[in-house]
Amino acid sequence: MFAKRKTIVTAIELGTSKICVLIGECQDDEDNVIVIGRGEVDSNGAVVKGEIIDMDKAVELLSDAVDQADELSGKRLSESKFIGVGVTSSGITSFQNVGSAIVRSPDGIISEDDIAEAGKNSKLVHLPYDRVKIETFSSYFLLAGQRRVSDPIGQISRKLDAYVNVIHGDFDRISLFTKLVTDCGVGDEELVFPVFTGIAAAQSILTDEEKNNGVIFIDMGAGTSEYLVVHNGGVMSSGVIPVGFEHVANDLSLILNLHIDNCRKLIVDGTITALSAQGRGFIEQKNFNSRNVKIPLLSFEKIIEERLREIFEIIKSRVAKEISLRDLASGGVLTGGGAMFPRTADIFRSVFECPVRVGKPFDASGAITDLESPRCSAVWGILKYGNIYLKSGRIESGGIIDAASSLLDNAAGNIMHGIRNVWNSLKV
Amino acid sequence: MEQNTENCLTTPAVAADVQPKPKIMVIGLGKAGVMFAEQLVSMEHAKWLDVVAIDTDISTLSPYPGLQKFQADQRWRNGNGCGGDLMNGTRSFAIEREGIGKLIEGASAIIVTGGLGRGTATGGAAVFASMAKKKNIPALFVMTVPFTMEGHNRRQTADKGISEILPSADALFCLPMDLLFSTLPAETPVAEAYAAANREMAGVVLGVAEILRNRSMLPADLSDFRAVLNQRKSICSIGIGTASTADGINRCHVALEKMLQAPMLGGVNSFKEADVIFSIITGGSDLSISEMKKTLEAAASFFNPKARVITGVAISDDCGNDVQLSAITVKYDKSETLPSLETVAVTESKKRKSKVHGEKEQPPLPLQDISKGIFVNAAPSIINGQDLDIPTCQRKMINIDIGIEQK
Repeated sequence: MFAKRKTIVTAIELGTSKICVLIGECQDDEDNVIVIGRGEVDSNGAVVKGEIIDMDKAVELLSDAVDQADELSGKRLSESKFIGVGVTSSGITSFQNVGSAIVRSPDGIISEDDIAEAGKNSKLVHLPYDRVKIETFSSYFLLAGQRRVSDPIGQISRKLDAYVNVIHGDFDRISLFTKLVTDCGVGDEELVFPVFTGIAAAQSILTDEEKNNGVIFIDMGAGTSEYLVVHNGGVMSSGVIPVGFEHVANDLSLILNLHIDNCRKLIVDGTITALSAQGRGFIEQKNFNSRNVKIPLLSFEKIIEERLREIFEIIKSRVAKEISLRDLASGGVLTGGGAMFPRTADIFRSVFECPVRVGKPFDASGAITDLESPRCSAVWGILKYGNIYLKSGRIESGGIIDAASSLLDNAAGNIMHGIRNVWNSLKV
Repeated sequence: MEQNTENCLTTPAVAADVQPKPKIMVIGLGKAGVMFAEQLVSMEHAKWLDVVAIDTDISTLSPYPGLQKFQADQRWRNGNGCGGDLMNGTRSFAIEREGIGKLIEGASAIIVTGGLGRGTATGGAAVFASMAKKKNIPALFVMTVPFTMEGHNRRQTADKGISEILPSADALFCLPMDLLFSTLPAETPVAEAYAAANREMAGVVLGVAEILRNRSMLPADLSDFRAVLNQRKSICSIGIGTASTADGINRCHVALEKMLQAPMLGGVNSFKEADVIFSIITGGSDLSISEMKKTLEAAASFFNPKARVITGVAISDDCGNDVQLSAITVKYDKSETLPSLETVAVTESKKRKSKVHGEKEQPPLPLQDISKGIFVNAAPSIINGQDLDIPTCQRKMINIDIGIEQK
């Protein structure tokens, strides 16, 4: 009946500042996703530092957002083949793992089967019972234990090592995210996939050139900051620190005795930025005792600077363990709500001593196109991720679910080929 | 301050009239303190000081007839010592508050000296600190920390005493007695060693008093002491070298050598490890600029390049042909974090209040000041042992100006 097969993908982000739902439509022969529905509500304290602390409230808010999006899309949510829910915080960390394969072909030319075997071995990870693997990404391949390549097909070597970045999180807390989504009646449990928001945001922001040259990507949200180092198309390091821009507002509120809403407003509406650009010395605010206080602008700047600098220093010290920062030729990319405050990028630049750009979704299309803000990069990324994911799954095996589950768990040998395609297409 | 300096330069005679001579009172507390005081009285240069020896033990005070004495707590202690009990010391002096207030009335500064680690001085010093604060008199404490061989117990008592003195004292110099070992020859008889210790401590007290008294050209004075030592636990060492024209043309060089060899300095190594170094040269009206420059530069060559160096030059009419080179090294006790938490800006207002009251106040518990705000109910974010929910500025102890309330 239809000339083109269209698939519906849903992305859900449970952020500290906002709960956001996107519904997208992807076509078989096109890479792009068209946004057909969007719902967004304030988190209102249900999510703190990327963790759901008030389950009832979160269910209520998420239902609102889902209804909004469903309404806009013309009730097509139920057709979703992929529901990605962004997970963050939850003690998400990563480590580098390695899997080896002996090349069996007589001439030593590496074939896809060898890559699949090395990939399979690298995915044999034994995690403690309370941890769950979220995703595995290829970092690079090592030929004969010496040469580093990103695409080993056609190379000659007797031994192939696949290095992967395994991202894993706390089992209970991640199940909470998926449970919340199924509780809202969005879809069946087997369609709900946890997606690390750091990866998702990078997916929506980074260009191929940046991924190849090497880049440090930071998504600073309200409650958490995710980071990702990509070099030669492979993930070198990734993780989360549970500190975000809410901490800046909280610091201001605690130290200067101001109400937290006041502090948020001062940051968000650009008052601080504007006043310091004008060279003003003081800001007048009402404090807790509802008296007017004249606070030096310098105090605000100092508090903000110290906090942001600390966040970047922590990320830098973690990243520096995995890769030399000088290898990252494309410098840094900053996104998330924190990127909307101009000083953040400056401090990022001064801590990492590299050029930094602020990234926002650039290729969103559809009726709802006001996604071009750093705040929306994660949710847009989840949508794009779902699209790529479904497409790559369809290539090799008939069942989407088979492919999908194999990507998350240890794959059977013959499906590995498809997964490698996912790696290729994700390039992260 | 600047005006005074100007006056001094043009007409010293008039300046002396305008600026009344400061009356500095030295209080020798406890057995060790009484001995330091006795030594001080016998020194020629220290005649201008007001020296009082105070103890609860009558037998300590009685052998020194020439000394201005004050026997504390006659009613309860019955002329006995405190028996190494810090609480006894505190109680005895708490009873004598009024007497202490009268005693220090009118002094422009007091220097309390004694040996920490036992009862009277350890417990009593804190009372002096709070009384001085109440009367608005700057109070400096030059205390010795007991020998390591005296045992762990004494060290602990001394530490307790230090934590009580710190909140209200303007500056506390803690001089480890162990420093004496570094310079005295091994075969020195014990009696002589203690006599040397007394002599040295008296010299140190005198040196500190001289710094407070003199008109400074390059100021290194009470405010500097306060800035460096207030509320911070530290270990100090003090070296003082004096030389006069009788020692030859190069008197400053002689003074420097004497200073470096001073027992309470603990050798040149103290300079290498110090966080803050005061280097002060005091001379008569004949002190020339080249001498001053040469001496201070020569002294500075020994200093830790990372240390904060506070240089001072003072001119005293009483010096005659003498020059005195004083060096004070301060090494902060890094293990001590509690007192410095107070410096967090949030408590700034409380601190100001406590100065007005003058009474010694228990430092506020850090628990009250450090809050997590909206993150109080969330799982803590602890990275590298630091709770990241607490504002960075509070964790790093950065002072923030919290502004002025408008009326």
